[in-house]
Parts: sequence; C-alpha cells; structure tokens
Amino acid sequence: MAVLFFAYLGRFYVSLQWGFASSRYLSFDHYSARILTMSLYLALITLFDLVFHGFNGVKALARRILTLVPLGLVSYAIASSDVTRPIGNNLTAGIFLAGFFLTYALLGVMFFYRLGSRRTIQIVSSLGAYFSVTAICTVLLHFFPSMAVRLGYLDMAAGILLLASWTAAFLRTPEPLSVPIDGLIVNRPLNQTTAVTPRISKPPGALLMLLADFFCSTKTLERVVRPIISDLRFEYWEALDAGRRGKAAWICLRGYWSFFKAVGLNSIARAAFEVWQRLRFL
Amino acid sequence: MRPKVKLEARVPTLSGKEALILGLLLKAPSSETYGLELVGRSANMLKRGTVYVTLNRMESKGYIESRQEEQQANISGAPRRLYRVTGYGEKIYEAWQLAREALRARSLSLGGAA
Repeated sequence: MAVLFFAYLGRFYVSLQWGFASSRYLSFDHYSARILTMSLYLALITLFDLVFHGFNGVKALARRILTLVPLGLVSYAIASSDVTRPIGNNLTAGIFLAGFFLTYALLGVMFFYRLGSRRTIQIVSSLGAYFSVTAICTVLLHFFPSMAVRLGYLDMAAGILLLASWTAAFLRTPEPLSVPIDGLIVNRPLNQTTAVTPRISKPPGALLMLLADFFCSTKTLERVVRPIISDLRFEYWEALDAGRRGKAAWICLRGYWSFFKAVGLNSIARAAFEVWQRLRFL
Repeated sequence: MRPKVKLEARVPTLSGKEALILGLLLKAPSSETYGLELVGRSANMLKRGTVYVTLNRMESKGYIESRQEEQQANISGAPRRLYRVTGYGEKIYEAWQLAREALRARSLSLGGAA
C-alpha cells in the first residue's frame, strides 16, 4: 500500500509539474510502474497465503522467490533472443500478466470454494479491477498513442481507487472466522457487535449429488456416488477442523475428480458390458 | 445364436485389484471397513476414483457385502458405507491364492528347466 501511495503521489506531482507528455513523467512512470508491478505481485502472493492459511514467514518468502524464478527465466530467454528488449521490461510485463491471471484465478477459487473473508475478497477484487484497468490502458495506448493524457488520468484514477478500496477494506471490513456447524460452513464475524450477515454455504459435493441423482441409477448412486461424496466431506471437514483451508480446497478438487472418474468409468464399463452382451448372443 | 450362459455356470473371475481388496478386507482388524480406509491401507495401489466402482462390481459378483453406516447424532456429514467379505468371497480368494501359488511353482519349474 505504501508503494502504491508513493508511486501515485509521485506521478501526480510529476504530472502537475511537467505534464503527462513530458519526458520526466514518462521516465518516472516507466520506473514506478516496474516497482509497483513487483510490489503488487508480492502482495498478491501474500493474499494467496492468507486465503489458503499457510502463512509462515520463511515459507511465504520461499514461495515468492519460487514464483518469480520461472518468470525471470522466461524474461531472460526472451531478452537474450532479442537484444532490443531489455530484461526489466520483459520481467515486469510477465509479472503483470501472471498477476492479472492469478488475481482472477484466486478470486474464482475464493468464490467457488467459499474461501477467504469479506475483507480478502474486497482486496483481491479491487486488485483484479486495477489490473484490468491498467491492462486496458496499456492496450489502448498501444493502438491510440494520442490518448496518452486521458489514459494517464484513467490509470491514476484506478490507482487511487485501489488505494481507497484497500484502505476501506482494512479499516471498515471486519475479519470473520469460519466454523463448520452440522454440515454447513458458516463464516461468523469475530466481532459480534458489527452488523455482518453470516455466510452460509452448502457442503462440498452438493452439486455432484444433484447431478448424479439426475443421471445415475439408484444402484450407482447408493454404491458409488454416495460413498465418494461422504469420503469427500469426511476428509474436507477433517482438514477444516485442523485449520488447513488449502488442504480442504485440494480435497474438494480431488473429490470432484474422483467423482467424474468413477461415474465416467462406471458408465463406460456398463456400456461396454452391454455391447459385449449383445454381440455375444447375436 | 449362441445359448445364454447361466450366471452360476460361469467360472468366477477375480482381477488383481479385486484380489487386493479381498486381501485387505480379510486382513482388516475389524470385520467391516470403509472404502477410504482401503485406499489408505493399499499403499497407493487403489485410487479414490476407482475403488468404489471395483467394490460395486465385487458386490454384484457376491464376493463382498455392504451396508450404510448408522448416522451418529454428534457427527456431521453423510453416512459412509461399510464393506465386509462374504463366505463365497473368502473361498474365491483362497482358491485364487492356491492357483497363484501353483502358477508360480509351475513357472519356477519351467524357468529352472530352461
């Protein structure tokens, strides 16, 4: 947040002093954009840690370095193949692109698996909006260089809105606590005096049960689908009890994969058996 | 048209995975076992996605039987399914082990002759 604040304050000051089209503003924008992209990317990885509850100083640092290594290698490979492209530009472009996609991936996972608090959702969605606006500005600037001033204002507005949104998220949105209650996961606010509606979500596998109920026979439902879903829920709640939300999300994914594998396999095996029976008695 | 073969007249078959499940169920300390427990004890030889399909097939063949776990008031979640070996399944497993031993002995003797 501090980097964001100083980058946009600096841009605002330079644009007031020398204007958007000046070489000083372009140079400041160039370097501040690189520092800002790196900082936002690191903030995003921290958000991943927060969402999946694996936050630990050394591990988090290792994860950040690990995520930057492939981007650095790709950037180096591109820069070494084309001498006109400096590695710094490639690296920040790669980080920006990865950040853009990872933000929306994180948001998708958070909504799908009901992970993260309202505050985290607010922070991640505003980051996604900021990345989107910046990406649109970059694309428009490439095709319409004459719009540089207007796009400069738009980019600045996006930065200020991101800063405001993050500040509001930290100051106004309370941090809730997730607890499983009789098969329902209820996100209960820590501070009971704040007026926050508890979030009630369905247990994992509810949608699979509906699908299976529609497509599968009663026998398959009883013998194959229900045991898979009960295993999935059993492991899921065990992981939530241990406070391992990341593991719980992984169990969900694995359970869904097991379901499709089992139901698909079961259907294919049955179809093959029927074909074989018909051919056999021809 | 070929004559329809009655189920009882067919030679019972037992795949490697089915034999593994029977072995695990027979070795289980309690008489009944969960599917997930079988996966855990199989040392990655059984997968979550396929174990219930195999168990379903074995149940259709009459090697095992299953029942729904009784729902306990203080435990949340869907009731799980418990599996146990039938007398027929135990006999099939014994016959399969004998056949395997005989085949191993035969292959060893053939290997020795070569």
